[in-house]
Formats: sequence, structure tokens, C-alpha cells
Amino acid sequence: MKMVKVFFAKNLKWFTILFFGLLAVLPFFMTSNYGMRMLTVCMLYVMMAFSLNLLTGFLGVMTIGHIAFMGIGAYTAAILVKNYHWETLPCYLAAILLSGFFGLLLSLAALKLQGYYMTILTLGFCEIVRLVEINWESLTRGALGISGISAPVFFGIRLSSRRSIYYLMLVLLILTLLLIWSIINSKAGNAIMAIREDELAARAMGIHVFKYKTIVFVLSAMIMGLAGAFYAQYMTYIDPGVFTVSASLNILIMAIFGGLGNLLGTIIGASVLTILPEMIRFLAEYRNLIYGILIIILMLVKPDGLLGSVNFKYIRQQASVQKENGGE
Amino acid sequence: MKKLLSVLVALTMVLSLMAGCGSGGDEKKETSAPKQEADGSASDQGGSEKADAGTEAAPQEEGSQNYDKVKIASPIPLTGPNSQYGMAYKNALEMAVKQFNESGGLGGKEVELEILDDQSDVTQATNLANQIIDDKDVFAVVGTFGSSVGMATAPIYQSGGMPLIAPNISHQDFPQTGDLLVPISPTATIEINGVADTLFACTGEGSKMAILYATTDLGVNVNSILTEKWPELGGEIVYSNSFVSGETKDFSALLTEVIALEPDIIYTSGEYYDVASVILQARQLGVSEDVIFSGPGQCFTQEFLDLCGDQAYNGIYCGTLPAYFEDVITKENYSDTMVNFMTDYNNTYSEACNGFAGNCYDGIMLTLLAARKVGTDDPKALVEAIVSYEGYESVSTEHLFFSDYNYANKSLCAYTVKDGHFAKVEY
Amino acid sequence: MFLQQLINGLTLGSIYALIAIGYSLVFGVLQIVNFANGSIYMLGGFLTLVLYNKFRINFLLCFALALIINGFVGFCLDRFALRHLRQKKATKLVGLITTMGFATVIENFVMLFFSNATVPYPNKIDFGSFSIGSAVVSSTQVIIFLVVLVLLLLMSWVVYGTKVGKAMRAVSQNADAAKLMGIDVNGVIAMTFILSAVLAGISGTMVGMYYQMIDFTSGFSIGMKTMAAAVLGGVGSLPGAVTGGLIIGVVESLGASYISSAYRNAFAFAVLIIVILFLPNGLFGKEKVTKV
Repeated sequence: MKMVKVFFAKNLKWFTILFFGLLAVLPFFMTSNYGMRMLTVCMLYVMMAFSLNLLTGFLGVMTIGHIAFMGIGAYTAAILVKNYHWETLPCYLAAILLSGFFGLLLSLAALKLQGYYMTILTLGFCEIVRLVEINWESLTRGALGISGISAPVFFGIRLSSRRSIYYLMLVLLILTLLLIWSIINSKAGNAIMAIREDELAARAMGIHVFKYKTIVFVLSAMIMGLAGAFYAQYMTYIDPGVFTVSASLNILIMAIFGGLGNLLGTIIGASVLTILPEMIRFLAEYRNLIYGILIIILMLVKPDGLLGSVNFKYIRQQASVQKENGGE
Repeated sequence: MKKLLSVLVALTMVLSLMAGCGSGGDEKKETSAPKQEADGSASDQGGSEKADAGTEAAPQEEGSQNYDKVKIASPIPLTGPNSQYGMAYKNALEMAVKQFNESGGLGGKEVELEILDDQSDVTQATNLANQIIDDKDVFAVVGTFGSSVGMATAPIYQSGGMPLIAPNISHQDFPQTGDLLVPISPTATIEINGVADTLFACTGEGSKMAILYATTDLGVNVNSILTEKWPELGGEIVYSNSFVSGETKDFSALLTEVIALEPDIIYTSGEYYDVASVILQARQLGVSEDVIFSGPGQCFTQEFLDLCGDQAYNGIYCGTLPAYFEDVITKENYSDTMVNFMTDYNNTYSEACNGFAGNCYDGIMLTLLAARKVGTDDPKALVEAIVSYEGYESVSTEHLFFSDYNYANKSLCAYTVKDGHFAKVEY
Repeated sequence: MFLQQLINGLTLGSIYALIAIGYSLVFGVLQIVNFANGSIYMLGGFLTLVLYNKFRINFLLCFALALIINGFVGFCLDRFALRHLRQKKATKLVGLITTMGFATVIENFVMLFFSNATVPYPNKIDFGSFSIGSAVVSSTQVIIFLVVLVLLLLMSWVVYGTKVGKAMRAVSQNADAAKLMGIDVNGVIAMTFILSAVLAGISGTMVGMYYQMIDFTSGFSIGMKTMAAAVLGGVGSLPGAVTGGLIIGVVESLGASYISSAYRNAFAFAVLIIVILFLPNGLFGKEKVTKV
């Protein structure tokens, strides 16, 4: 068991590449719409859970209103596509910029606060954004939602088939992963994790805490915005009912369930929790009750999440240390 | 413990992958359950033949139709905030399929009904829609509750070549989203114009109206149409404000203002509990006894009457559905088909019959009868047969017909509440 | 009119205050936001109703019985889930998710076994109404106000005047030190959960009577708002929770009538945001000194 772990940790990069390679060829063997849909949705949730894991897992800042940024991204893209017939790439850019801007505003206010004060502030932000979406009827059509959002278009090429949308999502997910990967494995990443472990100590070591916090917050808001923009064109219909606090909590549960600070865990956690409700559909009206009980049990059995206690870097280091010792 | 968990997780992943690829396999097993249940209780309801009298459009007339597909899928909310409506759907669906199969089914084949829970959640409903269009045995979908879910899933059914018969979607964009979509209830625009006329006929020239509307697609439409139409008719809108249905329980702030403006009629657009809250809280705040309370068809339920208790007097409630009460739906006022449907329903289920069940029954019965006529292999022909079906006696209205291809039309019902009972309004 | 809106707002606010105290107490001893509190509030209201409808005996007796059951549910939440997590030294986030799981379970339990519709609630404290100037005040409002006041005094006495309260405060300052002093930390925490569940149950029943109806989804949005109220006042502070609740109630009422009713939840949160931007620890919160 330990050998497997070490082998896995050492070749994590190759396993990751293999995994995404598999995802890339999978559509050629899959004929069912449902399978494609589930894979696409899983990837979307993994992307959003990545965003929360970056913020909550690596930086240690907890928000329960992050879905607001997804809403901002979704509405930006939907309005630009529907009313101004923009292509997808500039739409994505606009969605990223706008959600990043609101992320910046919120972070300037929120990050000065401590722990739960900040968390509740993000909750308030989410509610306010949702109410604006409901009530600003001239822009968002309010509760009527925006329907008939057309499929993504890149340089004149329309991606309307399920398979092309799948690949678009896969690309977005890989980009997100690369971004987060490169952040946490850089010097900035060390600073970020130092802040998570002990903010005061980090500050004493000369780390500009507020700067890093703001950057990470804005980045994770941007990822949510991008996911939202994708969502709008994927679903072709959005309304404010999707971007609620409880939806936000669901994504947080995915990130925590997978294991905070572990990207592989997030992939597993988000996928399992997306598919689990589908699998227990035969329970009919008892489904939600059982789902709640399952969540409690899983948390009690594995409080760190599935892979929260696994640190691949540490396993690698241990292994190499042992090797050196063995060689002497 | 750790190992056990990892095995569990691996198992989950494998299973889910199978569910993803296989699509079908295990679902088929589930579908037989509701059918068996229906079969099991086949003989104890004497009324079922009577109800079929309304659907007499000869089963045997065409023998050459193709009935390869015999399954109807129904994504409805069995959990979540709308579960109470989902349960009414479920009852009506099972009842209709049982009756249809007893009357000969599709050329001797029994129709299968697959009921699936979508929790009124857009993501889950979209997952389900993809699962359903994959199923080669399904020839039509009867279900989806609420505009949000309906609008999000409609494009998927449309592009998947699957007719969607939606019992209760009043979103104005729905009919034009595709030619495989059939709403059974009229769009808000059609309904509210009728409501305005009816209310005006009851209250008369110059009456002052206050509108409280939920921020739902229906509520927003109600507000914009009423504020335009009411003054045209000769009335006056003195107040209009919105609330978030399901979250707002306290209407006292709004009602304090409304009462100060002394309106003649207070129209609340929302769910039955919103209307009941408005009535109860307005009376607490000492509203004048002459004020007429008005609300939509969602109020025609026993729950509404229970909530209001003895406070519901002096109201006019209008909707495109009848109030399914034994003392309202009588043979003098309504068709035999409606009376029989209600009696049957109330005898079969512990919950009382309501408009949601009526709409849903109409939706599935019309679909099944149309399928009997044109077969189940051509979705377009099926939808055309549904919207042009002649001689169907609806259980949810006096006269159901479609205009502009797939816009449903129904006659309006208006009721008042007397001594805790609904009674038809004469105007 | 303003007076009427103020009275409406104060009634609403005093209910918020009562639930917010529960949040504050739990947060004080455990530094955890109890997401299940809203559901426990709803459960309390439902239990009273169900017992009353079932046995048709004295309403007060049913009420008391419901509170006992409710307290027991709060106790179970701590005893069988959160205590377990504390022993495993799990992060606070895990506790948070667990309370969310509990909220889901409670809501679905009520939906399945009590009712999935909005059901009527008998108003046993309706003895008519009287007017002050142009404003109408119902007996229900007066009684709610009085009950909240009495409970407040009682809670203040418990927290600041009894040994249990002393232990509570000790645990909230430093659980490890309290343990070394011989305080039964787990017992104190369990006690806090029971108290907070009972308070939520009282509010649930009174709100049911006030609006004369109840449904299984009503816990979530009031849970959010009372959480905001607790934070506004400064988490862990009793007077803070009360002030926060009252402010949110009044702002909501006035905002809904003078600005826009559709934004009513936004006003509550907007006030919260503005206040904590200027007073980062809420109105009555003490600044926490972080030490390495």
C-alpha cells in the first residue's frame, strides 16, 4: 500500500497527464448523451471546486458566497452573446474581468476582516448580487431569466455538438488546473500556504499578507466567472434561481469532501458528489434524507476529506530521504 | 477504515461510470415498480371505466400504427421545496396510465411510466433530460414543474427529438422555444388578460387596485399586464410592489402601506401560502372589511382554505383551473368527465385532488390518445396530433384547445370563498 | 405609518434576536457557525404543532414537550457528531459541513413525516388588538416581545450569574485552560447546544403563531438572517445578538416599505456589511488579540 502511494506520488505528473489523456479520448467511445452530460457537468463542478480549494484550501479563507461570481460571469456572457452577438472568447474575457473586478471590490472590504466575519460578508454579497439579478429587470430580465443563449463560437466556428462543448470544458479545466498548479508550486504558493498556517508568523517573515490574499481571491473569483460564462452558453438558459447561497455551499462541500489543499482530492470529491445524487435517484422522495445522512457519516469517518491528509510532496520527500539513507 | 472507504469510493466511481456509459440498464428495472403497483390496485376502483368515457375516441379505429416505443418519462420534483406538487403529478400520472392501459393501451401493448425525481433543481433536471433522450424506449416526456426547470431543459428535449408535454409552465417564451414543446396551461399573457377582465367585471368602474407580486416569471408578467390593462379598462392601480416568494413571510411592511392607500381590491400573485399570508396579516393590521382579496388559481386548494380559516371571506380568485371540491365541481356546473376524474382521484389517493393533478392528467392522457392515433415513432407527428386532437374531454377545463400551433387556451374560472368553501362567482 | 412599520420591525427583530442568541452562544464556546440552527428552529415550530394536532391536549404542554425534544436534537447534534470531530481534532470547516448535513436531514425528515405543504398554525396568544395612534398592535406582538424580554433576562442571568454560565465563558475564552481547571468542557458545550436548540424551538413556535402558518423550508432564510444578526452584534456577545436582531428586523421593515420590498434581504445584509467595515468585530464584539 505504501509502495503504491510512493510510486503514485512520485509519478503524479504522469498520472495526471494520463488521466486527462483518457478524458480526451473518452468521447470517442461514448455514445450516450447522458454520459457526456455527466462528464461535462463533473468537470464544471471540479473547476469551481478548484477555485474554492485555491481560496479555502491553500489560502485558508472561507467564503460561502462564491457562486455570486459565477452568476456575474454567466450574466455577463449571456447578455453579451444574446444582445450584442459577441464571440465567445471576448465574452469569456469580459466575464473574467467583471467577476475579477467584483472580486477585487469584495476582497478589499472582506479580507481585512477576521474569520467568520469575512465569511458572513461573502454570504451577504451573494444575497445582494442575487437580488440585483432578480430585480434589475431591464438588464437581466429578472425572474424570466435569459433564454436562447446561443452555443459558443470561436473565430467563426460554432461549437454546438455535445462533443465539442465537452472539449471546450476540458480545455478550461486543464487551464484552471495549470494555473493553480503553477501558483502553488511557485514562491507565491509557499507564501500563500504560510499565510494559511499562521498569518501573523507569515507577516513577521515579511510576506505581504494582504497582497497575496487579494491576488488569490481575485483569481478564484475569475475562475468562477469563467465557469459561469461557460455555464450560460452550455445551458442556453439562466435565471437567478441557480446562483443561491445553497448552491455555493454545495460547491464548498465538494471541495471539503475531496480534501482541502489537495487538487486530486477535489477532482474525486466534486465528481463523486455530482454523481452520487444521480445514483440514489431510485430512493425517490427519500433521496435527500439519505444524501444528508451520507454527508454526515462521511465527515465523521473522514474529517479531513478524502485526500485532505495526503500530501504528495511530503510523500515524495520522505521517499527520497529514505532512499538516501538506504544508500549510505 | 481507510481501506474500506477507499474501496467505497472506488466502487462509487466505477458504478457511476457504468451509469454514465450504459444509460438504461438498471433504470428499466425501476420502471416496472409503478406499473405493478397500478396493476395491483386495478380492480378496486369502479370509477375508472366511467372516467374513460370522456376519452372514448375509439381505440381500435387504426390498427396499423407503429407502437415500438411504449415508455413515458416524467421528471418531477419528489423532494425539495416543490415536492407537494410533484406528489400530485405522480398520482395523476399513475392514475392516467393505469386507465389508459385498461382501455387497451397502445394496440394491446401496455404503456410504461417512468417517474424520476429532479428536485426542482436545474442542474439535476438537465442531467435527467439527457438521460431521458438517450432512452430509446421513451416516446414522450410528461412533466417538469416550474418555469426555471422547464426553460432550462426544453432546448435539450427539443434538440433530442423528444416531445415535452409540460403540465404547468406558463413562461411566455416556452411555446416558441421549439415545435416539440406543448404546455398544457396557457401562458401568463393569455391568462392574466382574462383575469383582468373578470376582476373588472366584478368590481366595476374606477376601482382602485393594489398589486403584490412574487418575483417569479408569472408574478412579473402579472404585474406588467395588470398595470397596463387595469387603467385601460377604467380602473386605477394605486400600489405595486414585489416580494420573494418562499422567503418573505412577513408582509406587514407592504400591507401597512397598502392599507393606508385604501384600495378596493388587493391582488396577490404568488403561491397559495403567499396569498393566505397577505389575507391573514392584512386582517391583523385592521384592513377595511370591504376590501376584496384576489389571487391566482394556485389558491384553489384545501391547503389554502385551511390556512385562511375563517378569514378568507370577500375574495375573488381567478385561474385557468377549476377548484376541485366536491361542492364546486358538480354535474350541474361542470362536465361529467371532470366530476368523474375528481371522484376517482379522491377515492384513490389520500391527498385531495387539485389543479396540478388535473393539468398533469390532461397532459398525459392527451399524449397517450394522440400516440394511439399516430403511433410513437414520429415525435413531430405526435405533437401535431396532440395540439390538433379533436374530441378530447379535458378534466381541467371546459374547453382545452391550442392556437398558434402550441399555445394552450383554457376557459377562466372565478371563485369566491363562502364559509370556508369555494363557490362560483357570477358576474 | 412610520410607527406601524417600527412596531412590525421590532416584532420581527425580537424574533431574530432570540435565534441569534443561540448562534452566539454556540459560536462562543465552539467558534463554529451552526448551520442547522435554522432547521432546528423550524423543527421546534413543527413539533409543537404536530404534538398538538395529534393529542389535542393542552397547548402549553405540547409546547414544553416539543422544546424537550428539540433540546434533545440539539444535544444529539453535538454528542454524536461534533464531539466526535473535536476528538479527532478536525478543522472547524468540517464541523460546519456536518451541521449543514444535519440541516438537510432535519428538513427532509419534516418534509417526509410531517408535511410537505404549508400548514395552518393555531394562534393561541391572539387576544385581539389595540391601537396606538394610527398604529395597530396585536396581542401576539406584545406577547412575543414580552417572552423575548423575559428570556433575554433569563439568558443573561444564566450566562453571567450562574456557575454554568461561568463555565461557558471560561470555555469560550480558552477551552484547554478551562479543562485544566476541572471544567467539564464537553458537558458545557452540550449544555450550550441544548439551550440554543430550546431557544430556536421557542422562536419557531412563536413565529408559527404570529404568521399562523409553517412550512418545512422556512428555516433556511431565517437562519441566514439571524446569522447576520449575530455577526452584526458581534459574535459571542449576548447584548450584541439582541441588538443585531432588532436592527436587522427594523431595517428590513423600513427598507421594504420605504425603498423596495424586493430587496428586503439585501437591506439586512447591506447594513451588516457597512457596520462590519467600520467595526470589524461587530457592535459589541471584543477585538481578538492574535498571538503567535
